[in-house]
Amino acid sequence: MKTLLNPRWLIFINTIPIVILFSLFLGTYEVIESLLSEKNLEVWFNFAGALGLLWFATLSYCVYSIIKNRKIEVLYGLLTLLTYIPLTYLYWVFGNDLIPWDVPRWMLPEDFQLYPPTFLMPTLAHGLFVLMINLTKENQKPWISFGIAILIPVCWYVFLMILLPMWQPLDYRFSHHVISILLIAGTVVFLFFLGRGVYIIFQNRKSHFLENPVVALTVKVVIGLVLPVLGLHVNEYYFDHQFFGDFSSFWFFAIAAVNGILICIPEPENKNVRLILFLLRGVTFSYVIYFFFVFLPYLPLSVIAIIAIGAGFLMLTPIVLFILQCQTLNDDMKFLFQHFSKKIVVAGFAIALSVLPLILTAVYYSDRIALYTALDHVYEGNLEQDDEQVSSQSLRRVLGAVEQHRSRSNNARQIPFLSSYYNWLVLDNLTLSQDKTKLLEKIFYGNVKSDEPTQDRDGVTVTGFDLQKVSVSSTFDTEQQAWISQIDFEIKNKNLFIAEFATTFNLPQGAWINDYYLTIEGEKVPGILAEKKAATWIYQQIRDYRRDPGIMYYLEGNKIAFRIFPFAGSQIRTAGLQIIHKGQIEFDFFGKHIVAGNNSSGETLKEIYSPDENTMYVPKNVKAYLPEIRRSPEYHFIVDCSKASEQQITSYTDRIKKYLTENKISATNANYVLTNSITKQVDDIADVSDLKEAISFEGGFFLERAIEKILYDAYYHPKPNYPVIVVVTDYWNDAIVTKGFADLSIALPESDLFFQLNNDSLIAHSLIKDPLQPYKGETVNYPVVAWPDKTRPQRYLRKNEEASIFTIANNKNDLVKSSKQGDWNSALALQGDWLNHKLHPENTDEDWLALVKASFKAHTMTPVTSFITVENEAQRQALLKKQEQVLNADNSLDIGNESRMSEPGFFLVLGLFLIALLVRKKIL
Amino acid sequence: MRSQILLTIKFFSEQDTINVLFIACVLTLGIILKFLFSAAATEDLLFVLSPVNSLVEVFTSSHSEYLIDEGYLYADLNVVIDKSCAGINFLILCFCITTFSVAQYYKQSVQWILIPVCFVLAYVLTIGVNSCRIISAITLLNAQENFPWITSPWVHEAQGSIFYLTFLIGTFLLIKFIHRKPALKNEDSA
Repeated sequence: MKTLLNPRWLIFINTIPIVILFSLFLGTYEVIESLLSEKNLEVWFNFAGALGLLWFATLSYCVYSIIKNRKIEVLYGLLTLLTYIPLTYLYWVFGNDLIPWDVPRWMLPEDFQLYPPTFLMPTLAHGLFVLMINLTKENQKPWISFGIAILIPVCWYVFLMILLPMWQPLDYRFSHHVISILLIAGTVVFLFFLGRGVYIIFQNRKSHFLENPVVALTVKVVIGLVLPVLGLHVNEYYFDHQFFGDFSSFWFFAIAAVNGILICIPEPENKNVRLILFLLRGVTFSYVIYFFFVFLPYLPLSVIAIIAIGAGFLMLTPIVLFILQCQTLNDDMKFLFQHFSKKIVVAGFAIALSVLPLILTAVYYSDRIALYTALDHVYEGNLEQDDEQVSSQSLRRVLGAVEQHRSRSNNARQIPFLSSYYNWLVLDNLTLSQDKTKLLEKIFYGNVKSDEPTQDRDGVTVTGFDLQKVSVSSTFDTEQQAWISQIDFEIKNKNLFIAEFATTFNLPQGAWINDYYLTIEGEKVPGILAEKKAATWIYQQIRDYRRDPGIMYYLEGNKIAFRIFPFAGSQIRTAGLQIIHKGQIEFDFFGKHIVAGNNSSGETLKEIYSPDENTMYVPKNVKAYLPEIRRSPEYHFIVDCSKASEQQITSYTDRIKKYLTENKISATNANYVLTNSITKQVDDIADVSDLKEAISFEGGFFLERAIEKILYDAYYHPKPNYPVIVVVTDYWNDAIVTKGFADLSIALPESDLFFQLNNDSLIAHSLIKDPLQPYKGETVNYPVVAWPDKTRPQRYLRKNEEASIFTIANNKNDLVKSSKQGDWNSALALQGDWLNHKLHPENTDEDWLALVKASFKAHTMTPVTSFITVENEAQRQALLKKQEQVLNADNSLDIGNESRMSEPGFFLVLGLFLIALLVRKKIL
Repeated sequence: MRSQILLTIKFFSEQDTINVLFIACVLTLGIILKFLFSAAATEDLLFVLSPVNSLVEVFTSSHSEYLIDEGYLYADLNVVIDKSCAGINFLILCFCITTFSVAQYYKQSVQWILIPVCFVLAYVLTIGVNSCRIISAITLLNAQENFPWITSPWVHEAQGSIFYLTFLIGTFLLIKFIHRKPALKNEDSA
């Protein structure tokens, strides 16, 4: 214990934690600075100054003591408690000035309130130890200390029950402060005497009752085994994990029990057995250290807990156990140093200590691999290759773990530190939404009941608004031969209450948005082009706080969502966007028909290649001259092979055969795709046993993947036949389709429909909108043209009044470098890259970041970016921070297209250098 | 062993001649530099980046293009040298280590003059070492077709750490060697 008087400890106990605390506060301060008033700023600076001053004073004292070779003195302990306790207390008192109520809580890191107690508590605890050690003489009686310690909660109880009700002070704030200060002082004195009692026992144990093996064993059993297990039990059954965290896992109990047993085992005389016991104790010591840090911030509350429910002693258990285990390990080391080399003992201990953290990391990492394999299959599956079966066993465990670590509500606590570590290691600090978790469960287990269909807020067009004025001004940019059209809207909320304006509109092919503004309090605020996920997250957060955001982003295909919030009752707001396009464009916006540019300039009579030569733009004028052709249908039967359909498979095959016969469809014109969580193509369905051999009936019916594969094949291998997709299932409501296929509609020019084979008849469904709902419109087969000619067609295009854009190659070019701001050709290249990205989701990791960056560079909105306006600097900072988090979500995305020659981390090199010096000095 | 200098400083000194104020000043300077450079943009770090870039150009026989906000782009090598590659971490570490290592051999009045001298020394070393690190990293990248794992971030981090560590320890030992005590023979003859 006396080693705690070595001034070097101050570096680890005070200097480093306060530096970390400073950096955490600095990060928060940068985000919320613009929301703080002068008074708030003054409080911030006063606290920073006070903390900085204390830090510097402690560091100076530390350096002085090291140089002068002096131990930490009693005065240090006293001054530390007299300065840091008031500072912590004032932090609570001025909490509302540091973080005013009007600062949205989503801008702050989680557990922000706990930062100061967590990082200052080591200093306070150490200060108390210093006092305790310096003020304890040899051969003192521990019972006196314990007696005083017990007396304090008793006094408090008497005070609260008898004296306090009679006390009628003049000012309630006075009594509030007096009680708080008395409580803090009482806590410090209580902990001092309690700690001193324990210290005396351990100090005098050579000649003490602890030498009695029965008493020693009893103490060890109580502190090492009974209290930890009891504490975990109380936390689980009485607090319901609401206060300290969720320690309900079997492993917390198991390791507590094992650790208790290891502590209680009498020290063996055999050196090898003692070494093994020491190493095993080292393994579980990391568990004890973990709980020591978890409970350290709650140390001052132990007195309150003792007064209130008597369970406060359980809160002290991790700290007492930590001391006990340190002492035990110290004894083991002293013994082992006599028999083994110091290096072996220390190295063995270091390895033992790292066992549990390493196992935990390995388990978490395997969760990450299982989760990412499943996510890759669903979101980044290779449409060309056959799917590989994903192990559903490990995934089930991961989804359970993700659910456990998810912040469910403010009341439920996660596992302290470990949940943050899990979220960082497994989820890259992002969250896996419940929708995604459910989707994974549905795809891989197929037994999740479908929710009631919720209204899709994205695609909503609201009523109660009036588009009062639309003005369009177009100028022709001769340099790039394209129109730049500025469209301004004046929108009125006809309601008498606050409402959100939301609409969607379809932008014509070859037109892109490259600027956006919203008027906020009379000022035109330009839109920030941001990564889509980050922007929609921020919009949601700001909307909840009723501030002034506006957002615009792609839904599917060329459909764009446009939302503004809030609109006060009868308020008129203006917004505008800039579109870049080739010829004249026409589209509908909130019931008004908008025409921009004209055909006298811009629209060319020949195809345009994008600068990277990956993408082709075929204007409607060119399509008009292309030869029209009629292709014959080729049927693709998607057969449901999910767990639920195992019994129905014979009925499905009979239904298909009957349909083929009745409609005189040749077998050569029919293809079969067996689908559950994966897809498998087979040539024939005549023998059901063959089908059962080809695919095992498990998981859900991932229809979306099967359709994507058919569209992929149709896009890359255009044939004289066009695909007709027919789905065969009795469980239509359990089919999994999360989105429309508008982005891939270029692959199926003849039709926007697919069909469900219902006994004898076909029920049509739209590929573009709500694919799972029956299509109520007319079934149309559009005329198509062959490009570039009829004899060697490379692509079939729908013959209509719109241009067509498709890819002709997927060469890896530096899109970021070649993109130019506000350039139509760059926008065309971006569109082609997006289409390539949709067709090759397996390359998402490499392509996505480049696509986002290129979109920023070209200042053109794409399906991966979004235009957002925010009200103030704080929101902008929050957006940029979230965006950075999203862009760095995957390590492989950090690198981008080019390799960065980044230098190694500062602390890594410093640490290695210090280790090298320690080795040189033969300290290690 | 009499040296009782603050934590890491302890390991540098053989003699107890560095005063506390000096240590505090150098450490504070190091911390300020770290914060300052962390907040700096690529443009602010051109004083280190530019000479490093010139050396890399010469040794790799390629040409770079300077992009605002991005740094030096080597299109043919598919490599970018930007703020994160400036070698600032090395500069700060090298500055602190050389200052503490050298200072103990001089009188306290001379020690203060050593601060700017050591900074210049650290700057020159940074240019050299960082250039070597980048050139070797580019050479390694050439082998990525046969060894794809070479492009993984940890390999790059490890390669950089080995370079930095080697040169830091080398510098430290060199200073010790230069300031070694006179040979016994000479002492005897004196």
